[in-house]
Amino acid sequence: MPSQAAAGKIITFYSYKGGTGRSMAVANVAWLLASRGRRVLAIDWDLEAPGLHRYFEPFLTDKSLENSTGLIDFALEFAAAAVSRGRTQTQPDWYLDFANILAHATPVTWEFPKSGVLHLVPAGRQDAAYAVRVNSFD
Amino acid sequence: MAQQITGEIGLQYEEIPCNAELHARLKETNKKRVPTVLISDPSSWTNPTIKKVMEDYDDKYYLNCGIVVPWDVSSPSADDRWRYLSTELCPQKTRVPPLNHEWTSISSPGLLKTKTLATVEEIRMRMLNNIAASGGDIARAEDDTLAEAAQARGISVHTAPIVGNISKSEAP
Repeated sequence: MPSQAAAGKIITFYSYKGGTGRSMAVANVAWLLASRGRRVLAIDWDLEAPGLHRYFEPFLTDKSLENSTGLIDFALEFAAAAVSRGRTQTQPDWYLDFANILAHATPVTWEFPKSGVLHLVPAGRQDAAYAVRVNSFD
Repeated sequence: MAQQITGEIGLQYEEIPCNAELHARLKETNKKRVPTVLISDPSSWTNPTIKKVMEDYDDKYYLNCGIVVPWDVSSPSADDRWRYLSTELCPQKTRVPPLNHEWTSISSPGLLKTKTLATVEEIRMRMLNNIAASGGDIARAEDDTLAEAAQARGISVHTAPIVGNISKSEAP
């Protein structure tokens, strides 16, 4: 468990409609912060129209994200574990294995100065069932 | 293909042979809420064992179960096969197809994979939502230390965050 001092700062980019340059701003700010030696985790919360990964595409190993999990997969795995009958419910820390968002982070492969790093958590695996997962998840 | 699909989405895979035991296995998977997809090859429908299985399946309705059929619409026997399916094998399930029953919509190997994947996920989501809606056996993630740490940073952990317009009186 990270200490309080190690906890990062969360910055949310929000807009009331699409096409305003929100993802571009996120990508650029994330890159600038990493270039200044920060450890940056960019998360694509735009589940209905994910596109943040496109800005980082040249630096991703799995460019189309067909084999990379993301936010919706994280939520689904957690939900599945929460309703699983096989899990021992008496264990208070049952959720820790499913609460690690970094398990779904993919590195942006670039050597940033000052030991900066940038990782991306995409909206989710971009396969034929992505829309099913997003639209059906309650 | 089924093994590949389930592996990609992190599910376990088990193959169920299509024989006289199938109905019992479907009943079991339904009880255990396991997403189950039947892959049915039209060229096998005249086999007496398969025919009986399909006829039996027509009478059963399981929310955890779907069916995908590779369908060659250009085949000279396509019309005959449809007639056979819709009048003898599965008249009920072809007249009003239940959810996730893809009788004639899969016309290529690529579609077979994507439709099978979507079918598995739709069933999985339906199972998850059903369990959640039943309000029964759901574990919660509760940790006093985390809650206190969040509270200290001004994050409420007792109610879901509300996203909406800020009224003028609330705006800074």
